[in-house]
Amino acid sequence: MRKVLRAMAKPFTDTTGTARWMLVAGIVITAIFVICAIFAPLLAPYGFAQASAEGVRFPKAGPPSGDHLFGTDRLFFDVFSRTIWGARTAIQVVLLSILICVVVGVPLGLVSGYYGGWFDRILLLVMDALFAFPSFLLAIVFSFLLTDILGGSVLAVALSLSAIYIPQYYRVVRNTTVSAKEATYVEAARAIGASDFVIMRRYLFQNVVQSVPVIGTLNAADAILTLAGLGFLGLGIQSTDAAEWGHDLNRALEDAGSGVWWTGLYPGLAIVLLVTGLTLVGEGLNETINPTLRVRRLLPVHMPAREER
Amino acid sequence: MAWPSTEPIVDIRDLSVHYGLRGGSLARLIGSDAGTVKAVDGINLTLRRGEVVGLVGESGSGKSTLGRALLGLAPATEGSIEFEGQDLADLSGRRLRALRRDIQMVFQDPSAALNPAMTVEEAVGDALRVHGMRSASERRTKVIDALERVGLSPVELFLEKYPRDLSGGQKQRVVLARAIITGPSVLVADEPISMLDMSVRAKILQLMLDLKQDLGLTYVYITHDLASAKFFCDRIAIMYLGRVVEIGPTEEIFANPRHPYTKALLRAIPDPDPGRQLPRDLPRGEVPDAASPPFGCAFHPRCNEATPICGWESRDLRALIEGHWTRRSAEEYAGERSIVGDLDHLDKPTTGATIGSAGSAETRVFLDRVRAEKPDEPIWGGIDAINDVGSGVRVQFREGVDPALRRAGEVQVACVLYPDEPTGVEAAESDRDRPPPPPEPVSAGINRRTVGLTVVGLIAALLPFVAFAGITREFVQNGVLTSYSRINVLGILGGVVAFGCGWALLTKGGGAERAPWWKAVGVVVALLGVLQFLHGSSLLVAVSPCQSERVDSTWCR
Amino acid sequence: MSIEMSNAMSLEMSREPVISARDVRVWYGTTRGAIRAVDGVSFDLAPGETLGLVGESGCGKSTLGRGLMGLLPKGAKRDGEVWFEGKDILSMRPKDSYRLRGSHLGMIFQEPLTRLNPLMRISDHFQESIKQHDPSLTKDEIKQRALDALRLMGIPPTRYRSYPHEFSGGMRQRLMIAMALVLKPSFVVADEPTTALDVLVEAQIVQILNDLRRNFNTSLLLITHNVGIVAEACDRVAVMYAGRIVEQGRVADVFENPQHPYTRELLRSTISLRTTGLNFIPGAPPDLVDPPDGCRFHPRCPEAMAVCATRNPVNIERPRGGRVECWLVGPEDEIPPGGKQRLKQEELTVADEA
Ligand SMILES: Nc1ncnc2c1ncn2[C@@H]1O[C@H](COP(=O)(O)OP(=O)(O)OP(=O)(O)O)[C@@H](O)[C@H]1O
Ligand SMILES: Nc1ncnc2c1ncn2[C@@H]1O[C@H](COP(=O)(O)OP(=O)(O)OP(=O)(O)O)[C@@H](O)[C@H]1O
Ligand code: SF4
Ligand SMILES: [Mg+2]
Ligand SMILES: [Mg+2]
Repeated sequence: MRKVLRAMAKPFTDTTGTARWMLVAGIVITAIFVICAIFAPLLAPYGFAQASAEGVRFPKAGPPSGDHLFGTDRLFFDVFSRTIWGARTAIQVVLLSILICVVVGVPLGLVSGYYGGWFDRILLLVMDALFAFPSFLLAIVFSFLLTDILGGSVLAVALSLSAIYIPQYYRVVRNTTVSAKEATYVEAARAIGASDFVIMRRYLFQNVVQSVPVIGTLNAADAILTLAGLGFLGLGIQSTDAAEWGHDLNRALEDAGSGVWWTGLYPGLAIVLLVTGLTLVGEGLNETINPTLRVRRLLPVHMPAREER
Repeated sequence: MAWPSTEPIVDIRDLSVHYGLRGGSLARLIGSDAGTVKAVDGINLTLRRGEVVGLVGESGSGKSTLGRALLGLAPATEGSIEFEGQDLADLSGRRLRALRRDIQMVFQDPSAALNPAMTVEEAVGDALRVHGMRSASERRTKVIDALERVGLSPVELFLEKYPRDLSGGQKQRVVLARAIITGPSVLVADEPISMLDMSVRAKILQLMLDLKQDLGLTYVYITHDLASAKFFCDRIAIMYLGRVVEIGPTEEIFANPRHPYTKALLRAIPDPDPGRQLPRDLPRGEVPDAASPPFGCAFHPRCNEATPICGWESRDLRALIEGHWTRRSAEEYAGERSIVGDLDHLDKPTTGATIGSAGSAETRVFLDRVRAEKPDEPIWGGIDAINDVGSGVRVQFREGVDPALRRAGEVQVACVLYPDEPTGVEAAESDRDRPPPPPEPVSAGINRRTVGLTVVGLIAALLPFVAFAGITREFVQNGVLTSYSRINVLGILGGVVAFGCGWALLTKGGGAERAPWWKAVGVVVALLGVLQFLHGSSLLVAVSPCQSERVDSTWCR
Repeated sequence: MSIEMSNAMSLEMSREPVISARDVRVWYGTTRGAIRAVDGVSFDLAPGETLGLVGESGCGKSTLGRGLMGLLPKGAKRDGEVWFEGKDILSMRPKDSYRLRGSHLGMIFQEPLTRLNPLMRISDHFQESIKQHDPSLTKDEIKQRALDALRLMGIPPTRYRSYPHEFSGGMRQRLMIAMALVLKPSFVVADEPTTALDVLVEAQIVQILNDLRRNFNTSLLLITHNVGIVAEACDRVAVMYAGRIVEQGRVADVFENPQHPYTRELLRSTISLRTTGLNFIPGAPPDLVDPPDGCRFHPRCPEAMAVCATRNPVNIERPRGGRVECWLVGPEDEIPPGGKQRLKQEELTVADEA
C-alpha cells in the first residue's frame, strides 16, 4: 500500500518547474471532469434527454437563464445537463477503450517481443499496417462495422477506438521487451530455472509497462477528439442514448447561423478543456518518467569560507 | 574443506557453441548468412567435485559462453556436457530448468543481474518459487538464512530494499544468496569481482571461499584477471578465441608458463611492486574478429615466438606493412603507398596475397625495405615464394598448422612449440591440424521466385493503405470523399493480387525445402489480401457518401 | 620534443610546476544537500611528470579531474586556486578557460566511443578540434599534424579516413589519446583510460602513456583504480579518500613505506600475483553530504586515536618527501593530552558498506 502511494506521489516529488505545473494543472482539470462524470445524476439539474420538467416544456433554443444555465437547444434539451452528462459518456468510452487497449496490447507486445520469430514479424506487420492507416478513417470504418453488430452503444465506440490505439501499446511494449529481454537479469532468471511465462510475468512485465501510463493519458486525449469527431459525423452514440459532445456540436452547427451560440460553445469548450487537461497530465508524466527530460530539484551549494587545515 | 577429489562432477566433451551472424537487412530478407562465430570451439574439460577451475582469457575468448553452456543457457552446437552422468542435451526444457537448482551462476555486473523491480526478498526467494516452493513463509525462512550466509546482516535491513538502494558489493552478495539458496553443487562465477571496487573485491572473494568451504561447492571461476585466478583457482584454463590454449594446475601455469599467450598475459599484469619494470615485449594488436579467425594458430598474429608454420596469411601482410608505415615519414609513406596501392583487398584471408600497382620490381624493392627494417619478424619465415604477377607480386605463404592441445609436463598446451605426441582423447583432436574448412552455406533453398512473390504480395496488400493516407488528407481538407471509388478499386485489386501471391507462396514457395517460414509468409500475404479485398468492398457500401443514410448529408455535397 | 632533449630533463621537483592546485573544492548540488566530492585538495605537477590518483570508488577522483578541466554539471560549484602558466584557471572568464581547454589542457576519458561522433571520420574529428584552436592552419598542415600524432600511437596513416566504429577498443583509446595530444597540451587528465580494455591492450596503453613524457613532455594526471598501473606508469602518486588527498609522494616511497593507514590498507587489499591472503578495509567510504568529523577515515581506520574523531589531521611533510595528513605521523605537539588513546571502534558490518 505504502509502495503504491509512494509510486503515485513520485511524479510530484521528482519534478520541478514546468513539468510539475503541467502535471498539477492537468490533474485538476481532469479531476473536475471525472467528478462531473461520476456525480452527473447529482450535478446535472435534468436528464440528458429531458425536454420538460414537472410538466412544463423547456423553451426551444432558449438563451442561458436562471433555469437553464447554458440555455436549451432546438430539441428542448438543457445544454448544461447535456454537457455534464457528456463528460460521463466521454470518460466511460475512454476508460473502456484504454482498458481494452492495455488488456490486448500489453500482453501481445510482451509475448511478441519476448519470443520474436515469425509470430513477432507477422504481428508487427499487421500492427504497423493498422498504425500507418489513417486513424480517423479506421475509427469510422470500425464504428460502421461495430454499430451494425452492437448498436450505437458505448462498448461499440470504445472498441472502435481501441482498434486505433492498440498498435501503439503493442509497439511500445514490444520494443521495450526486445531490449529488456537482453538484460542480464533476464538471463539470471533463466539461470535460476525460471520458465518463459515466469520471466515475462515477474521479470519483464513491470519493467516494460513503465511508459504505458504516458501513452494511456496521451491517447485518452486523442480518443476524446476522435470520439467527438465520430459523434460530429453522426456516427457512434445517438443523442437519445447518451449525451455526447461531438454529436451536440454537429447539431449546433445549424444554430450558429441563427445566432444561437450557446448550444455549440459549451460542448466545444468541454472538449477543449478535457483534451488539454489530459495532454498536460501526459506530458507531465512523460517528463518525470523519461529520465532524459527530467530536471531534478537541486539544492543550491553554499560553500563556507575556506578554513585552514 | 572439500578437497578436490578425483570424482568428476561435470564432463565437457568436444563442446562447440557456434552463433550464426546476422548480415544487413537485405541479407536477412534474402535469408543469406553472414558466417558464424565459433564462440566455443571443441573444448574438453572435466570438473572434479570441490575444485575451482579458472577460465582466463581476454574479451571474446568464449569464457562466458562456455559458462553459460554449462547451465544450458547457450545451446551446444556439437559435443556434450554431462552433469553427474546426465547429458544436458538429452534433457527436456522442464528437466533442464529443474537441473539449474544444481548448477547456478553469478554474473559480472551485479547491478544488471537483479531485476530493478524486485525487492531483495523477492529476488532471492524467486529462485525457490520457480522450483515450486509455494509457501511464502517457508521461503522467507530460507531467504533469511541465505542472506545471513552471505553476510547481509541484520537481514531485516535488506529484505525490503531494492537493488538501487544497495552498493555494488551488497548487490553481488544478493546475487550470491540467490545462487546458493537452491543448494547447488556447481557455481559458475562469471567475472564476479571485476565490476566491483578494488576494496570490495577481496571481501567478495573471501565470501566465495567461505561458501565453498561451508557448502562444498565446485566453482568455475571466469576472469580476465590472472592475479585473482592465481589466488583462487586449483586449475586454470587459458582461453583464446574459443579454444583452450593451455590448461593445468595453477602453480605450474604461473611457475612455468608455456604458451606464448600465457606468458604474455603474465607479463602484462600491472603489479604494485614498485621495483618491477614495464614489460617491453608485449604482443601487438588486439583479439582478432572471431567471425573470421586467423589461419593456423589463432594467436600467431600477436605471438612473439611464432614459427613459419603458424598460419601466415594476407591479413598479416597488411598489418606488417601498415606497422611499417607508422614508422615512416609522410613523404616516404606517400611514395611507398603509390607503389603498393590499396591494401583493403588483403582483408580477405588467403595464403596467396597479391600486392603492388607500380610494377613487380618496385614492389620487391619495397618488400625488401620492409624486411630490412624488421628482419626478425616471423612472418618472413612463413613466405614460401614471391612471384611476379602483372604490375605487382604475389606473396605465397606456407600452409599453417592449427595446433591441438598436447601434454607438456604437468599441463596441456596448444602450440606448435610443444609438439609432444598426442595421447588418448587429444589424438582425435589433432585432426584439426588443418587450415579451417570454408564455412558451409547455411540456408540454401530460398529462391528468387519466393522473394519476388513475397515482395509483390506485400506491396499489393499494403499499397491501398498508402493510398488511403492521401485520401484522408483530402477528406479533412475538403470534407468530401471524392476519390472513394479509387480506393475501392485499389483495395479490391490489391487484395486479389496479394491473395494470389500468398497462395502461390503457400503451395510453391521456399524453393527446394519448403520451410514453415515461407508457408507462414504465404498465409499472411493471402490473409492480408483477403482483408484488403473485404475492406475494399465493404468501403464501397459503407463510406460511399450519400449511399449510406447514416452519413449526415452536409458532408456529401 | 626530441628524445635527447627529454633525456636531458630529469624530473627534478625544483622546476617550476606546470600546474599547481591550491585548496581546490568541488561540491555538487543534489536533492539532499551539497556533496563535498572534492574538499580542499592541493598538489603540484612538474613538466613531463605523471601523477597517479588512486582511491576507492566515489572518493572524488573523477570530480577532481573534471573540476580542473572546468567540465562540471549544472549545480556544481568549485573554488580554490589552480595556477597554470601564471594564471588562475578557476578565476578565469569562461571564454578564456574554454580556449585553454584542448590546446593547453587535454582530457582522455574511459569510454572513447561515447566521445567520438559516429558520423564523422577520424580526419574530420582532427580537423574540427585543431581548427577550433588554431584557425590559421591549412588543411595540409592539419593533416600533417594529425598523421604525426596517429603514427606515434601506432595507428597507420591508411586509417586516417575511417569512421570510429571501424576501430577496435584499444585503437579507439589510442585515437582519443592522439586527439588529446595533437595540440600538444602541457597538461592532460586521463580518467581511467584503460578500465574498459583487455589486459594486454591495457598494458599497451599504459606503455604509451608512460612514453608520453618522452615524446611530448606532457604532464599527466592519471586517474585509475589500479595501483599496479600507478606503480608502472607514474612518478608520483596521490591517494584520495573522501574528497581529500590523504597522502602523496614518489611512487616507490609511498608504496614501499605508506605513512597513512588508508594507503597501507588500500595496498594490502589489492589482489596481486603475490597475494597469499585476502585483506580488506571494513566499511565503505562515507556519505560526502555529511562526512565524519575529524579525520574522515577514522571510522574505518584500524589505528584511530581519540584525537582523530574530533580534530582534522594536519597536512605535513612526509618523512621522505611528499605530504600526508594523519595524526599518527604528527605533528606531536598539536595532539591534545590523552588524544593518543586508542579510539573504540564500532563493529563495521556489511550493512555499513552502502
Ligand atoms: N548470443 C550471441 N550471439 C552471437 N554471438 C555471440 C553471442 N554471445 C557471444 N557471442 C560471440 O561469441 C564470442 C565469445 O563471447 P563470450 O561472451 O563468451 O566471450 P568472453 O570470453 O566472455 O568475453 P568477455 O571477457 O568480454 O566477457 C564473442 O566473439 C561474441 O561476440
Ligand atoms: N554529476 C554529479 N552530481 C552529483 N553528485 C555527483 C556527480 N558526479 C559524482 N557525484 C558524486 O560525487 C562523489 C565523487 O564522485 P566521483 O565520480 O568523482 O568519484 P570517483 O572517485 O571518480 O569514483 P569512481 O572510481 O567510481 O569513478 C560521489 O559520491 C558521487 O556520487
Ligand atoms: S588520522 Fe587517525 S583515523 Fe585518520 S588515518 Fe590517521 S590514524 Fe587513522
Ligand atoms: Mg564474458
Ligand atoms: Mg571516476
